[in-house]
Amino acid sequence: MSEIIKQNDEKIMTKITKDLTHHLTTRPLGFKLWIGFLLTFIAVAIWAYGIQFEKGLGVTGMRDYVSWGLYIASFVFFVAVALVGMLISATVGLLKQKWIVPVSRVAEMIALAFVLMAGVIIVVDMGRPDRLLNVFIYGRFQSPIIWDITVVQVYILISFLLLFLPMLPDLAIIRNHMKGDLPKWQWKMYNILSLGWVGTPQQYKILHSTVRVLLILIVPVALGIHTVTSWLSAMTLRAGWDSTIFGPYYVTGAFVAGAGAVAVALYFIRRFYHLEEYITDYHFDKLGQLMVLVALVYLYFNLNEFWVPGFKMKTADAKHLHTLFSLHGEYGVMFYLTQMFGLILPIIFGLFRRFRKPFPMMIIGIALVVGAWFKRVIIIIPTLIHAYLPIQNVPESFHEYDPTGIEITITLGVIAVAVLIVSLLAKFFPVLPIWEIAEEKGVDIERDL
Amino acid sequence: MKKSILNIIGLISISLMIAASAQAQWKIDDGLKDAKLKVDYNEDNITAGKAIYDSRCKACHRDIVTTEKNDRALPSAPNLGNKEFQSTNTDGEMFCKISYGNGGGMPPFEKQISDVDKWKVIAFLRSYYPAYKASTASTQAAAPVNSFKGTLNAIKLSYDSENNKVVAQLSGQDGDGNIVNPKGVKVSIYVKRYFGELPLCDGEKTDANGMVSIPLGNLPTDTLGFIIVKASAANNAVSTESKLKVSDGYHWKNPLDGRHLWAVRAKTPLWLLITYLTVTISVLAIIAWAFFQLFRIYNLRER
Amino acid sequence: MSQEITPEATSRRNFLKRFGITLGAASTVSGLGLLSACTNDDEMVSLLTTDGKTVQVPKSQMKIDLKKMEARGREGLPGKKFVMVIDLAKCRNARKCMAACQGAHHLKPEQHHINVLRMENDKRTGFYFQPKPCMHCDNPPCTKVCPVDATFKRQDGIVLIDNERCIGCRFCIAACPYSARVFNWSEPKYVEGDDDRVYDIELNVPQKKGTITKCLFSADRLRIGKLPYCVSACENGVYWFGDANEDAVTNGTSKETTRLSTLLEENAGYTLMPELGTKPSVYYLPPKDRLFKYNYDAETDDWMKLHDKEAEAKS
Repeated sequence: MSEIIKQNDEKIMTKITKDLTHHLTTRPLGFKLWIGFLLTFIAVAIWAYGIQFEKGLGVTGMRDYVSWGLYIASFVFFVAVALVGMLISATVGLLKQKWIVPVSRVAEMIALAFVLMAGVIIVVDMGRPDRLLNVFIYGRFQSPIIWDITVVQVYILISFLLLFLPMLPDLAIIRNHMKGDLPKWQWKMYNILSLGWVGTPQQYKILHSTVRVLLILIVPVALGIHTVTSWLSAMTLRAGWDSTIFGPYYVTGAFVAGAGAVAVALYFIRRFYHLEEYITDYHFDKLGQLMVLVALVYLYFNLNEFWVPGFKMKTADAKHLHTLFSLHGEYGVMFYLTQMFGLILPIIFGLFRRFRKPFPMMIIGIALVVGAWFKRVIIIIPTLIHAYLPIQNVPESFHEYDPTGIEITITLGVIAVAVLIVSLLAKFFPVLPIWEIAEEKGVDIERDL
Repeated sequence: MKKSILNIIGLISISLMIAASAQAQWKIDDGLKDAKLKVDYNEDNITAGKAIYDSRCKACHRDIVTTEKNDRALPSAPNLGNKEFQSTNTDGEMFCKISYGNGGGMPPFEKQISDVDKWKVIAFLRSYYPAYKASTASTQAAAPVNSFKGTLNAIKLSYDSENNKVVAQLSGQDGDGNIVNPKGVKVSIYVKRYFGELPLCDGEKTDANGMVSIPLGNLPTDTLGFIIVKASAANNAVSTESKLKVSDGYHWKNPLDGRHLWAVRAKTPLWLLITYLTVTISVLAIIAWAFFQLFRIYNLRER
Repeated sequence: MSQEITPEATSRRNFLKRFGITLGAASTVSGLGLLSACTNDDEMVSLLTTDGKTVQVPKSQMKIDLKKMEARGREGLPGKKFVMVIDLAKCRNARKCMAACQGAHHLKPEQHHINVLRMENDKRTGFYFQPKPCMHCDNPPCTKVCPVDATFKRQDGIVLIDNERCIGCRFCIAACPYSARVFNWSEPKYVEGDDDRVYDIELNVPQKKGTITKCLFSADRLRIGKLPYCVSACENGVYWFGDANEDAVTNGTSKETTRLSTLLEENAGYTLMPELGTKPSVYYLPPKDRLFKYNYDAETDDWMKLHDKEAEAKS
């Protein structure tokens, strides 16, 4: 009897392994073109950064009043998207939701890539990147920037561990079964990275307990990273930033952005790696429900953020709100488009099951991610346009913010690096956890490996 | 570059002034055209006029010097001590000019300075014009001036702690060579401050004992209770500078001694430092532990 | 900490000390006269003395102690608490302060350590001119957020910037509600001799690309007992400057000295945006009984246009 079960198990296992690792062996033209496209972008961005490094931040559209621009907005965006790792793996995972099994690794890949780029773009924004070390030599514990740097580094480490640790059994499976199918270097890489995993009960025990501790740890750290990021603005006296709900406002906004990013990534992975059997409508449906939930919470915080000062209309707040809510305000059109496509419409569509299918979810996901980026621009820049005191005796360009080509190129370049990292990780590592899916299908993984 | 910035600003001010003077017009009331000084031309009024001049006029007209003609070019306001100005203007004309200005560089002081004070300013201006003849009535009133006719020997400063007063004691000789306490001599006393001298009194006359006592009030001292006081009498005929101990001093507290959020790293508030370090070290310790688990897994590999 | 603090103790210093420079033995014996007679091919370095003269000193003969200068600049003058009082009734937008400041600190026309603003609180209350330097707050939002101690408060109340340490994150710009801080977005203005000058933390000269700069209350002048550049340059008697611990301020134009407490009391002095809790060291006297009519013509008085015209005239 057990023999039959074992044979059956092996059959399932072989199929799963084959399906989930097939993409490691292929190098389709589309992938090469995609990587080439990203690399071109990055190369141009590096050239643009060379100019910025040489000439100073004056090549950007930032000036004395709007002194933070696309870079800081993108920094907040990166941190926001990176938070999805915590949302999916930890919050939903600890609630023992089964549907996240094929989603969690993709989420961790996105988290790692984006949090790394958050670190990069903050250096891009520095006037003196050559003095980066000063932060570590003279770091001042009272400064929110130091808290932010600390927590970003911690988040990078945890994200890395949460990506790497659960991957060990998969790497061992690849090492054991695919030596012949892979180029030598690639197999060697898996061999080294699998850390000699054999799947003994003891190893599984260590793995499970470590991952569990990390999943709990990442919750406060992730809340910390985005709360501290929100404090970069909320700890100042500026109207529009001077808000007590900025922490949760940012965190819930991040969940929305992250859910969108995962939906997009899942769709393309499913399509290009032909994993329709593993990433099903069911997963997209659940992801859609989660998205609607977090978006509703975010909507609630939006209400608080704008309606409370809007009711009182204090001088500086009124000026700020006019910038956003009046169609004649500098950011009025952008504000309405962003709120509509980045929040309201996704919620409305997400309420219907027929839109929680892969393709519509991908479209909604793109809207959410793009909307999230614009929302960060709206949070960072309009506040700076209106200082408390009049802006006078300076050139016209100081009164507004027009990002320059160089600035946009560099920003897109950094985004391209993030996408590149996700693409490479998803190409060279199993995107779905083989052993967990096998376990789900009833294979006794500890015995069969 | 620096010079050229200054130049251009200078040029602009000049052009503004010229533009202003093009429309500049002095308005003189008919009734006041030949008016004479309406306050007594005496030292008290001149001194009072000087105080008003210092606060209201000096910013533009600077110190007055007796010259033949105005020695200051636009955009500077003229030196009012020039003989040309003094001789061509009656007291009444000066009064109107102060009152109404010229619609250009000279602003109207009609409301800012009372009429009596305006006359006092004019009295002060006239003190730089020896040829000035006040009306007979007022010159008579101006008769009682400095009563001391001898020579001054010295001026000494001391502090009267009982009454919290700074005391200046003059000594001198009268016409016959007798040592006396000069009476009615004008004394000025200043306290040195970091950027200038703070007047305690300006032109106070000595009493019968040759003394001037000025209340010090709550003027701050240095940390040891000292102030540096300068005194001079009769237009610097004698002067002195003394360091007087006038209080017990005070304990200067360095504002940087405390721990503040705005202070430097070395002065981080303790609660913040402890919180930051505890949280960071704990989290890093857990992460280190996780990496150690990787190592343990590696140790359990198939050999 | 009960030490005696007298004006003499800090006011008179020779220029070498002022620049934190120690000269070699040869020069200390016979002073600078000997140095100029040196016949070797040493590279000469220009130094600005306190009285504004430039002296040439061979590089090898001197050791420029940047660290010492920085330490002294970070400490400030003990026992002092510098304050400024700005009499708005007297300001007529002559902008001598701005020009003197930009000249002293090697600033570009659009960089203002002090900026004369045209203010209108309400449509019915009319315009007035308001010079706006750094407020040197006692609860400074800017130093709170600095990640590297590059901006800091000294014991004499002045908030300074160390351009040798600033990383250019611009968090302090975001934090300052008075918009007092400016950034060197590109290569700063070059003034003859900047190459050789030792960076002076109390003057922010030479300016450094990619770092913050702002009003320093002319800390270098205060060290030698002189009034700040802007205060001395004003010809309308707008500025009073002094030491609150001495309760005395001196007018930059008339050089008259008066009690700070009396001046503020009698004129109902106020600070800018007190509701923000920044506790500024700059006080304003209300623009009442103004001697000058508000007179501003954007066409002819525009600061930037004037500089554009100047540049045009040059080329």
